[in-house]
Amino acid sequence: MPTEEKSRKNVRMLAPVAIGVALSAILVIVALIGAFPYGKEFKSTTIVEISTSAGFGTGELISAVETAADMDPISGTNPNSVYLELPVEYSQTYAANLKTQLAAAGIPETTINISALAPLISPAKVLQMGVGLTGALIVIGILSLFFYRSRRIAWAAPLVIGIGILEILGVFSITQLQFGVFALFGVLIVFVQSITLDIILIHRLSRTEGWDKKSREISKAGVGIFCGVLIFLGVFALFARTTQLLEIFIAVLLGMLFNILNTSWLNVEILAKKSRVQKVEYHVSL
Amino acid sequence: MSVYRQRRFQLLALVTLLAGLTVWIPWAGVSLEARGLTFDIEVTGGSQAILNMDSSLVMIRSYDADLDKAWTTMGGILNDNWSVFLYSTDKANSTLTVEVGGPVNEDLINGVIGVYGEVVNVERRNTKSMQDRVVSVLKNRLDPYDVQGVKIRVIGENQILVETKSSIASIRDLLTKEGRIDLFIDSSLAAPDNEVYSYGRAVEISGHGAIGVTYFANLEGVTKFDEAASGKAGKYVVPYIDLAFDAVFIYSEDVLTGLTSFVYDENLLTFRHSGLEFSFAVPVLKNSAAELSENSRNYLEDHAGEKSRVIFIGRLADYENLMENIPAGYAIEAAERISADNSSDTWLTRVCGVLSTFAIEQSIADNGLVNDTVALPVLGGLQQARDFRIALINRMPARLTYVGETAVEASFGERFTTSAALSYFMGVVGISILVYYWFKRFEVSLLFFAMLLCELLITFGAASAMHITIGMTEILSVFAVLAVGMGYLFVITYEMVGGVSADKKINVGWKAPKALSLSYIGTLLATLSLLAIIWLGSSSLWGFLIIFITGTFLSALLVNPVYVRLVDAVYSVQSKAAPEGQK
Repeated sequence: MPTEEKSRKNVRMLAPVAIGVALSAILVIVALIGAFPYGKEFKSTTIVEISTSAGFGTGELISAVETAADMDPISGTNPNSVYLELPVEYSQTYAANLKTQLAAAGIPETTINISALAPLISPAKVLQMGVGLTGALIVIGILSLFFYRSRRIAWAAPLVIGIGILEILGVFSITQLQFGVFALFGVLIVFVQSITLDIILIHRLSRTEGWDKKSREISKAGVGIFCGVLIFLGVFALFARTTQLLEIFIAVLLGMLFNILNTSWLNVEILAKKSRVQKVEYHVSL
Repeated sequence: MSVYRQRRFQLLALVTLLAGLTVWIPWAGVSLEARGLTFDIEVTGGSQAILNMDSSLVMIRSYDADLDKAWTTMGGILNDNWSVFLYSTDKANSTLTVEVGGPVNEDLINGVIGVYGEVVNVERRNTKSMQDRVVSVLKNRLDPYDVQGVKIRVIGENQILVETKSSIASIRDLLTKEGRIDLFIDSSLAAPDNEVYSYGRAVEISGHGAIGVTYFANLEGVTKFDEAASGKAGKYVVPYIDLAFDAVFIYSEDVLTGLTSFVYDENLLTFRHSGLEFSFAVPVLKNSAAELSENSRNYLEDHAGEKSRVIFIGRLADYENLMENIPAGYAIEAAERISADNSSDTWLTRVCGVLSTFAIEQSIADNGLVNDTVALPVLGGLQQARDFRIALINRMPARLTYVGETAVEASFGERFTTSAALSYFMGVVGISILVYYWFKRFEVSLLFFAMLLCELLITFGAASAMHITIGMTEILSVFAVLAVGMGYLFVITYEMVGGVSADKKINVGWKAPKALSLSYIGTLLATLSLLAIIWLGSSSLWGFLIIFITGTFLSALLVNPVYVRLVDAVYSVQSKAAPEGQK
């Protein structure tokens, strides 16, 4: 084959890989430096508590609050107070205005207490999750090294999985879609599915010849898994009708797509390079 | 041998059946270990409690310039009464700032630290570190593995919000007990809280007819107890939980009525049991609800340095006329009767912190404790004994008081569980159809359906056996188990029959070990990496991860080995759809 034609073919083969890597790089950078849209579970909210100590009954207080606030506000009552948890988008300023309005309605300001309600998942816990996921990726690397005796596999497998997760975060960051705790569970599902797919890939490529045919089969299995997951999620979303499922659906959808692309482009390329190198060494030794 | 006669198949069938029975509740209410599934607050609703948190930040000027040594000494003394933590030190001014787990005043602390230093400033404040400690202890008490769906959050600086599916009344001790225990004999302290070495399990105590917690004392504690009990066979040991050492109780005969076992002793200024020979170790002043008597006022003024709280037995409203005459410096609290107080005697003993009483046996009076242990009876029953033990092991660093509670509605609606069940079923059906499209064998499709159903039942069975409360997180985790399980079934099928014509009769059993090795390695890798997340990461993910690890692990061990043999069995029989000539 003439050198020019061979080089054109190489460029054609490498183009999708280059696009994939470039896309990954952009998303990873955005995930790392972009403003991340944390969901409500990661944010502090505001609690307004109105005590019955001024002689108002809980019924009167509820009525006053409902008149003053333009939303369905009451979170709960107990014999001594009425309290409402304001949604994340409502700020302390809104709570302060509400206090003024209630005071105008005759409820003494001293009986109204505005406090911040700590987030369900604190920044410290987010950091712990990051440490946990990083630790898990390191464990995957160590185990891959142990099972397959290859340093290339040991860094390629966790890298592909890690990049996949960062890509999901990148899309959330770009689109500013809320990333709540359910999206986090979606990421975990993607994480374990990625392990499944990558192990299959590594196992088959590292032990058999004909990597290109095998990788196609693997991609097909990946698509099968992907379709199965979507069927589950789709049916669940249809029946359960909860908004939280949208978060997990988006995370899983993105994660599975990225994983198939990453696995097909990046991982196959890394391992194929290994196969080629091994083949050359074998040829020379003859 | 037929695949149905193989032990693996029979084991899978048995485990699936047992798991199915565990999550099915035809016998709900019968005392069996199989409990069915319990759903969390998001699915079935629950309760929300608000607690007040009370601790103090105390600045102490040390008389010793060596602040480390000063802290060791003063911290040890303060720790006899409160949980204390060193907040900061200032060597230039020779001061220590200490977080004290309760409301205190200058006199009280000065009285305790005596010759070692003096109080510079006392601030009633819950620091961020104290808030974190309280949340952590509550978590350990209510949901240590984060699988019960309990949510605990701090409101502002002084309140805690707890959301749980349990009724608040049933967990009130866990929410509010500080977890200190002191044993008294003859109204004298026989074994203080800091002499406890550890607590054993909550078990039935023979001879006492009660459920109890075993108390292991350290060497010094054993000596103290033996000395106090020596020659006192038949006398009563009174264990106090969270003894209100800094409080004076006030009661009115108009409020606390109907006492049968206790009589007020004017000389002791407390109640004593009319039959058993013991009196309370806390001062109780008898006073009419109309006005504070001269005697009561004098008592409070005389004890201002050692007491900091006045606790009215009853509602605050019952003692309205007394409150304004309570000397300054005393915090005022009320000990109301709660639904669990089935008599006035129970109310009084609970308020005064008495856990139970038990007589000193002759052998203990003569020879001291055996094996350094004391069995503490808990009259409330096994659950209360377990709760007390949990509270004692996980000591609350600050004082928590109950403010109020409210019901919480199910955020996912009543039909959620039905929707989830339908989703699983429809999802499995959908995947089976997809498998048929891929492999063109109805039997393989049916196998997928059966295997995924087995995985579903086994995972829910395991969740039930582990007492995990099912919420959205857990439902998603089971869904993830099915997704991964389905992935392995796909891969195994590809590995065994990929490229094989659907209507061909072929032996694919020899490919089983290789196909299975993929699922074993994948599962092992996923399990170990997720265990790393559990070990290093936040407990917020534990419920999800525990179910996921258990489900995938059991599926890989039980379901996949049977599946490969069934696939082999299917393909070793010629498809009916095969053309006549090929048969």
